[in-house]
Amino acid sequence: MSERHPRGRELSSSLDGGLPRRRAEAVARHVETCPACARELAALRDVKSALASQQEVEPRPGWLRRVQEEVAAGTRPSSTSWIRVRLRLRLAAGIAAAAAGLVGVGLWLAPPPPAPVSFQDEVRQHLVQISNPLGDQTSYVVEARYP
Amino acid sequence: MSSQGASLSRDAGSLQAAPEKVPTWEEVAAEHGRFVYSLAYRLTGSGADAEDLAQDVLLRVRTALARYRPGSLEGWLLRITTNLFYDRMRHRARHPTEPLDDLEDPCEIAPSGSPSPEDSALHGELRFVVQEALRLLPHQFRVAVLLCDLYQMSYEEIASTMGWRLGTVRSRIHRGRAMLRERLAPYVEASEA
Repeated sequence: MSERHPRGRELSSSLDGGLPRRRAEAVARHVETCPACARELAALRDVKSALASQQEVEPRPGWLRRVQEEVAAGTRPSSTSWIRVRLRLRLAAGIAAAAAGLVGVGLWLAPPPPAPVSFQDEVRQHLVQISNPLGDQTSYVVEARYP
Repeated sequence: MSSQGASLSRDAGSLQAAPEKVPTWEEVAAEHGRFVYSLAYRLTGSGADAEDLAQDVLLRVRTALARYRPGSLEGWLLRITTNLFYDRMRHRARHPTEPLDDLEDPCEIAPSGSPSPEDSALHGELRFVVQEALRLLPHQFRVAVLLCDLYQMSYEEIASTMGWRLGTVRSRIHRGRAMLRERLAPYVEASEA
């Protein structure tokens, strides 16, 4: 086996005549004696052949005539992409308007928010009893209920 | 015209041929409109986007014909088409939106050639698979392999057309082929079996 393995892009380039002559010769010598690089080169050649065998794609019947007629008439042919973009914008605007409407109706139907409760009222709601069973000023029993 | 590659290589040959006259827009549209559409289809991978791109190319040609110097007309059209496509892809990258097109019907790919009956089914499927694999490539790699393998442009021509460095051309062609190789391996092996 001669020299180091060529890089993948060198193998690719060797298919296209895109390497300097001396490097192309070195790659060719290496491939002759290296089965792995030979397989790699064959696979890349298959891809190149598959692409090269692609044939011309025909447009829809009447497309070219329509473009010719509209250009001749001085009207810019309608762009299918722009039509789709405009449709999408209209759809997005419709969805946004519907969402805004739903939010408005929801706000209108919703009950008013409760009035703010003071801390003292909050304590009173839960307080059941405060007692001072020992009669001194340091011992209190607090009964409260918790939700 | 049996294939697009043959078409462009023949056209590239005309670079050294006798000078031609500047065609009218009507002549360009009539004689090369399908070429532009086919290239646009390979680049975009979608019938609707291809119509849109090819149409914009033909409109641009109408104003650019005044600057056209007789030579390789299809090479000139190819340059306009790929550059317009590239500009759109860059614009789309800056303003990302959801893809406009879904997978197209394989029946839309209507090859103009006539393969032999015994291999038409296999090669018809391979053509569709190749087109699908191309469509899934990042657009820089797609442009590189299309220009090199389908339109048979040299590395220097691709570099000049796209404004890329030679090393970039070499790298993108190889990376594109390597990705295609992964996707096409089962089909290529099947067709060789």
